[in-house]
Amino acid sequence: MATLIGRKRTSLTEKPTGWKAMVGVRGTDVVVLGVEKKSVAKLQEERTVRKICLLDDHVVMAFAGLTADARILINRAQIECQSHKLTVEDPVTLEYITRYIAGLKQKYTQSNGRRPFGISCLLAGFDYDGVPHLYQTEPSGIYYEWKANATGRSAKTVREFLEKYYSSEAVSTEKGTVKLAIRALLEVVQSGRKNLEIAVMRRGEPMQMLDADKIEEYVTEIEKEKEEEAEKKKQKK
Amino acid sequence: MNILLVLKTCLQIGVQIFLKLFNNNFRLIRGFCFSDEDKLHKISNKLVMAVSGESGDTSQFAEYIAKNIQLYKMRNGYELSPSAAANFTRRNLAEYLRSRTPYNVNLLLAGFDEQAGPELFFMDYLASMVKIPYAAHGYGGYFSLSIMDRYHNADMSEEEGYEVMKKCVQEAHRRLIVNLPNFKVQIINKDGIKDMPDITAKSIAIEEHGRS
Repeated sequence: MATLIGRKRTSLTEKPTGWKAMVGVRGTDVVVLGVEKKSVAKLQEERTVRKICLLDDHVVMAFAGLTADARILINRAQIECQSHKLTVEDPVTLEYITRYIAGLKQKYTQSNGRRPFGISCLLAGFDYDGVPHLYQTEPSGIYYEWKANATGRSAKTVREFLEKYYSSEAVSTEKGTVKLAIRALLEVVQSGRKNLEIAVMRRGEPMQMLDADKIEEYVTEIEKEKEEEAEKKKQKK
Repeated sequence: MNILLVLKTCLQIGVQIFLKLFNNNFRLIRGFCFSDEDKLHKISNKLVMAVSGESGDTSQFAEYIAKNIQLYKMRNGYELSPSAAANFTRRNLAEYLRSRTPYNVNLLLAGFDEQAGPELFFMDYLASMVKIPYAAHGYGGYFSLSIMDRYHNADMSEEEGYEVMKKCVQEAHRRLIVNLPNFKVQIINKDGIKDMPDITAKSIAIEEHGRS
């Protein structure tokens, strides 16, 4: 089943390839979301282009697709987070808010005159009991939980990379988790380090966006490791 | 002055407990049990709202306002200033006033603004609002306002403010026919919200004894 979204023809089940790459990794104590930032035009103000946003103090969402559609969903989700807290006195669980967003997306696939939301979301955060979660939703309205996932451009490549390198030891530390996420993104990001946006969610703490220097540190470390690996391979030969 | 309105808290609670006590008496006769409620609601990191009035309305309204303020923070990435929050609260009260379901609550909203400093807003159930240096709601206020008139000045320190609070409580203990032994105190300054030691009949008595 195909629908027209703007000028792009997309299938509800097929992930659109024109969208920016996005990756999420769930560690033991942190959950990391990374997106490829669109390169900002010279005269454009950078801060208005935000692809990672807070739904609540403990839930963060990254999306790939039509930013305008995302705005609507984010607004509804933020209201739902507060409404939930008001009625049941507890912050939303990741599963609840994912189900809510997915349910909203599904509604638009089954009513007349409306088109589906053209975005794929990755929701990350910690439940009240301290367990980390990473969920993905699609325009069709389905949602899955993942240990690590990628959507958007070249999602398949990134996911294969994650399947190869993800292990519980690798993500047992915060550093390991962030490094894995950045490495995965670097596989496909065209313009390299300058265009990464990384958000780190720690248990009981507000979301932290890594600033450019921190990302730079990680990238240099990753490149060094890659070189060492390449050296070892050469020596083996 | 960078401290805020520990002052207001005191009397607000005074009234609440007063009302509750009366209800409590009736409830005791009817055999209901009475649980204590925190009347100082944290609205945001640097905003506290003390509510008194119809029970049920108080917590309902306070929580509703608190969650809306949080929603604003999530949506826009920054918090509402104290005066914006106060005006929002007042508008809500005013809109519900001429409906079938008005909120019968009196409240004091205290907050700290980066530019404007500490601010205190007095609001009553008719949705009137005023920004003032010190305030009180309820019967306790009849005595405390005069105390604060006499001892308050714009550049008081934290300790001096706490002392004036204690004086107000002592006056209520001395003059008010209802027994309101315990008061909760909070202070809001540039570092946020902090609990100060409770003012209780016991602590005042100990102090008096120590002095004499």
